Amino acid sequence: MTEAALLRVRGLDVTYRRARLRGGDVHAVRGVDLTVGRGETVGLVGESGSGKSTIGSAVLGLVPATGGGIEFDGADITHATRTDRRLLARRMQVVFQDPYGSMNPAHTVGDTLAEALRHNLGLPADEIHERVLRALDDVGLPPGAAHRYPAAFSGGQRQRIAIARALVMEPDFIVCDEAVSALDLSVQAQVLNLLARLKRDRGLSYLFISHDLAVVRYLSDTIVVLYAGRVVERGPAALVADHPSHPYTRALLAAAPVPDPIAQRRRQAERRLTSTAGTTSGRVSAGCAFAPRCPFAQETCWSDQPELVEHDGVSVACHRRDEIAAGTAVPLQTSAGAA
Amino acid sequence: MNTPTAQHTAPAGGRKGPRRSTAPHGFTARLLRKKAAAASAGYLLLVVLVTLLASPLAPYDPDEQDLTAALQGPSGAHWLGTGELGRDVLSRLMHGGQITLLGVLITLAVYLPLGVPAGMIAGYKGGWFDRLVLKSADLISAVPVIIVLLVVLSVFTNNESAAMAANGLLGAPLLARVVRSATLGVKEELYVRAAVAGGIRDRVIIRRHVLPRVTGVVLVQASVFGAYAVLLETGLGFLGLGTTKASWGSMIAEASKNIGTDPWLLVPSGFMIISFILALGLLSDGLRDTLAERYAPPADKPPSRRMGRPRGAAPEPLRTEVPDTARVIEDPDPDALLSVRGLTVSLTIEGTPTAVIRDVSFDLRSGEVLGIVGETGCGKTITATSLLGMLPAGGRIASGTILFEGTDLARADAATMRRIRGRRIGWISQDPISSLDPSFTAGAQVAEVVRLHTGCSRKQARERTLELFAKVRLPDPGRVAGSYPHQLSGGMAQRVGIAAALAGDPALVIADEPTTALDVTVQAEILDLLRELQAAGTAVVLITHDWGVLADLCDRAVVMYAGEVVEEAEVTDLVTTPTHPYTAGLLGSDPHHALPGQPLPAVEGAVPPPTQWPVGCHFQNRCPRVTDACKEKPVVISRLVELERSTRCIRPLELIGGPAHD
Repeated sequence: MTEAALLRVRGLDVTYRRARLRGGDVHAVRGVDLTVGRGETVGLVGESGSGKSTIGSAVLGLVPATGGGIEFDGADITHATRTDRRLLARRMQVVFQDPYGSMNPAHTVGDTLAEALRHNLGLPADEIHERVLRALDDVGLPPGAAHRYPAAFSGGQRQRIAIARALVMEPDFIVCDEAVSALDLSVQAQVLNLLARLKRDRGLSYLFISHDLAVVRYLSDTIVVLYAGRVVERGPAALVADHPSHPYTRALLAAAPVPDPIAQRRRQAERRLTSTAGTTSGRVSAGCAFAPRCPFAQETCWSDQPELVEHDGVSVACHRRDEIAAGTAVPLQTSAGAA
Repeated sequence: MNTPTAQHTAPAGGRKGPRRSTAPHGFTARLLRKKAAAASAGYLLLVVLVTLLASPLAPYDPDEQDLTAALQGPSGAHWLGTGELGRDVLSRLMHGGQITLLGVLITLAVYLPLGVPAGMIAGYKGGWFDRLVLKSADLISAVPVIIVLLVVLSVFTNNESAAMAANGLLGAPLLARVVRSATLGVKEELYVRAAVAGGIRDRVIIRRHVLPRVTGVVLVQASVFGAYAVLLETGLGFLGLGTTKASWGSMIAEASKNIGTDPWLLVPSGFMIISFILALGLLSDGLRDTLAERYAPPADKPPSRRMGRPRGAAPEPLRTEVPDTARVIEDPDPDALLSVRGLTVSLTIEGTPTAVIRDVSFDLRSGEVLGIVGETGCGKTITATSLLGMLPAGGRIASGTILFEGTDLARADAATMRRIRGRRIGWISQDPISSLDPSFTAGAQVAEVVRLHTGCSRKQARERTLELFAKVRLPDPGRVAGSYPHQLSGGMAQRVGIAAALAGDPALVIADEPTTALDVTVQAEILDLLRELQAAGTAVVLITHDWGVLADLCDRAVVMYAGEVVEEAEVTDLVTTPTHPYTAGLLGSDPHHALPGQPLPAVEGAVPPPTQWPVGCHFQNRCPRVTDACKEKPVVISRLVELERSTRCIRPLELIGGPAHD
C-alpha cells in the first residue's frame, strides 16, 4: 500500500493567524501524517475543532499548509501554484457538506456541472454536454435536471448533483467533507450507497471527513481519529470503530447512542463510569490535549506529548495504551470518588 | 407524477412552476412587475429619449432669443414659458438635458470601470491591493469633493466634463469599498470554494460567481451616484462654475437670478431635476429588491428543523381532511398530562391553506419522555409548535384537541397560552447559541425569564438563576451567568437554554432536536441532563431524527411521516419489531446497522411535501409492500390494544419475530 499511495500527508501543520488579543494563532492541525492508497477510503473522524475539515482544505489547497508536506501521486503539492492546481483538479475533487450553499443558485445544474469542463479542461461543447449527461446518469438523476436551477431539487438530489460535479472531471480522488451530514437518514443512506457504488465501480479513493463514527465505519477502509488537531488513533476501520484503543475514540464510541434502548442503557452505565468531562476543567495540559477530559490521565499525560505508535496495525497516541488494553488502568473517577 | 419510478422527477417537476419565476432569465420581467420601478424606468427612458431627440422635437432653438417675450409664463407659443432672454424654456430643458445627462454619463463612465473591478479584486484577492483600495477610500472620504472640483474647474474653466470625470474618480474608491464587502461575502460561499477546488481561474470565478452577485449593490450605488451627479451638475451651474450652454444646472442658475420677477422659471427645471432623481431612486429600490429575490435562499429549501415550515410548492386546493367516518378518535385520556387527539394544522402555502399535519393523536403521562421521530418535512416541529401556540404566520389549528392539565390548548386564547408557555410548558430549541440574545449575559437573560414567571425581585431572580445553572450542571454558575452567549461553548449554551426552559418550573418540556447541533460527547451529557429532569418528574416531548437519541432517552415514541403519525409504541418494541414499513425503512437506513461492503437498505425517494400528499397511504410511493388497496383511501391508524401500540398500515409487518431491520 505504501508504494501505491495516492495521497501522502506528512507532518502537516496548519496555523490560522489571529491577533494576540483574541488569543493568538490557532493551531488547527499539528503534525498530521496520513496516507490514502489507490481505491482506499480513509475516514477522518473528530468533533468540531478537531481539524478534520482543515486537513481536507489543505489537501485541496484551499488553506495554506504552514508546515509539513502533501504528496499526490508522488508529486509534492504542498505549495502547488494555481496553475498546478488547475491540473490537479482533474484528478482531485471535493463534495461539501451543505447541499444548498455549494451551488450557485443563479446557474442551472448543467452550467454548474459544465463549469470546470469548460473553464479548466476547455472541452468542446458537445463533449461537455455528453459528460454532463453521463455524470447525471451516474448519480441517478434524469437528463432534464441539467436545465433546472438548484432550487428545484431537494437536499438529497442536490448532494447527488454535487457528487456529479466532482465526477464530470473523472477524478481518482474525492474529498468528502461532511458530505452526508446534512441529509435525512433515508436520503443519507441513498447517498452513502451511491458513494460506495462509485468507489467500487471506478476504483475511486475518498478522504471521507465526518463527525459520525457510524457513517465513517460503514464507508471507510481506514479510520483516522483526530483530537485538537492531532491524530490520536489510526488503523483499519473495523478495529478502530469496534475496538477503539485511545480513550478519546472510546469516549466517542460510548457517546454515540445506538438505536437500541437495552444496549443503550448498558452503555449509559459504562459511560458514566469513565466520563470525567468537565471535572478538571481549567488545568491546561502541556502534554496530551485529551488529558483534561481523559479518565485515565496521569502525570506523564499532562506533561509529555504522546507519540503515535503502531502496534498490531493500529497506531495510537496514548501513554497508557497497553494498560488500558489490558484493563489494568484505573479510571480516574473511581479513584477520585474514593478519595 | 406520483408513480414510484418517477421519484426523482416528481418533486422537481412539481415545483417547476413557482421556481421558474425566480430564475434569472425573468429579471427584467420581475423588475417591471414592480409598479414604482416600472413607472420610474418608463419615465427615465422617456426623459432620455426626449433629450436625445431634442433637435427634431424641440419647438425652438435653445439659444434663439426673443427679447420681447422675456420671462413670460406658459403660453400657447411657449408651453413652459420663456427665460430672461426670451429663450423657450421647454426647448432649453430638452437640449439642456443633453449636457446634464452627458455629465452623469461621464461620471459613471469613470466611476464604474474603476470602482467595480477594484472592489472585486480587493475583496477576492486581499493583500496589498485590498489595503490600497481601503486606504484610498479612507483618504478620499476626508477630502471635501467641492474643493477638488473647484481646483479642477480653475484649470479647465467652465469645462463640466472635466469636473464630472473628476467626480467619478473621487467616487470610485468609495464604490470599490462597497463592492469589496459584497465580494467578501461571496468569496465564502461554498460554490466559490468548489470552483477553486475545480481548478477554475480567478478571473473566471470573479466573472461567473462574483460579478453577478455584486451587480445589485453596483446598480444601487450607480443610481445613487448618478442622482448625486445630477445635483452636482446643477450645483455647479447654480454657482456659475458650470457650462454656459443650456443645461438643467444653468437653467437653475438663470431661474435663481430672476426669482423675484419670475418665480415660475424655477418650476420646470426644478421639477425636472427632482423627478429625475426621484425616478432614479425608485428604480434603484426596485433593482435592489429584484436582485435580492434572485439570491434569496430558495423558497422550497426544506425547513430548518427549528422552523418546521413546509416546502413551498405548486398551489393546489386545500386537501380535504379525512372524513370523520374514516377515523376513530378516542376521547382524550383524562389521566394523561398531555392528550392530543385528531390534531390537524394548516399553513398557508402559496396562498392556499394546506394541511401540514393531519389527525395526530398521542398521550403523555407525567414524568414520561415521548419521542417524535421522523425526517425533515414530516411535521414533527409543527406538532410541537402547535402545542405551544407558536405556529408560524398563516398557521392555524384546523381541528382536534390538545388537552393539557384540563385545558384544551387548541381552543385557548392568547392570554391563556401566554400563561401556560414557560410556566407549565417549557421549550428547548435546536440552536442553543442563536436562541440567546448576543447582547445580554446568559445570567441576565435567564433572570429575566425568572422574574417574568415569578415576579420576584432582581436579587431573588439572580439567586434563582444561579440555582438553575447549578441544576443544569453548569460548572462555575457565577462565571457562566456573567458570560455573553458567544463566550459559551455549544454545550454550555444549551444548558443555559435548558435552565431558561426550567425557570417557570414547567410540568412539560418540549425539546426540539436539542442535541442536533452539538458534538456527540456533548450530546451525551445533555441527554444525561434531560434524563435527570425526567427523574425529577418533568415530562418531556423530544423531537429527533436520530434513533440513537430516541433509544437513549424515550419511553414511548410516535413516528411521523408526511404529516401523519404512522406508528406509536414503546421504544423497545418500536426498534425491535417495527410494524410500519416506514419505521422499518428508517431504522434500516441508520448506519449503525450497516455492514461495510453491503448496500444500506435505503428507502428510495423523498418525503412528499404537503401539497403532494397522495390520496391513500402517504408512504405508498416509497413503500416496498405497497398494494392497490393502499392507494384507494386514507389509511386509518389502528390500535393494537393488547400490544399497547398503534400503526397506520393496512399490511403491518410481522409483529412477532426478530428485528425487521436486520
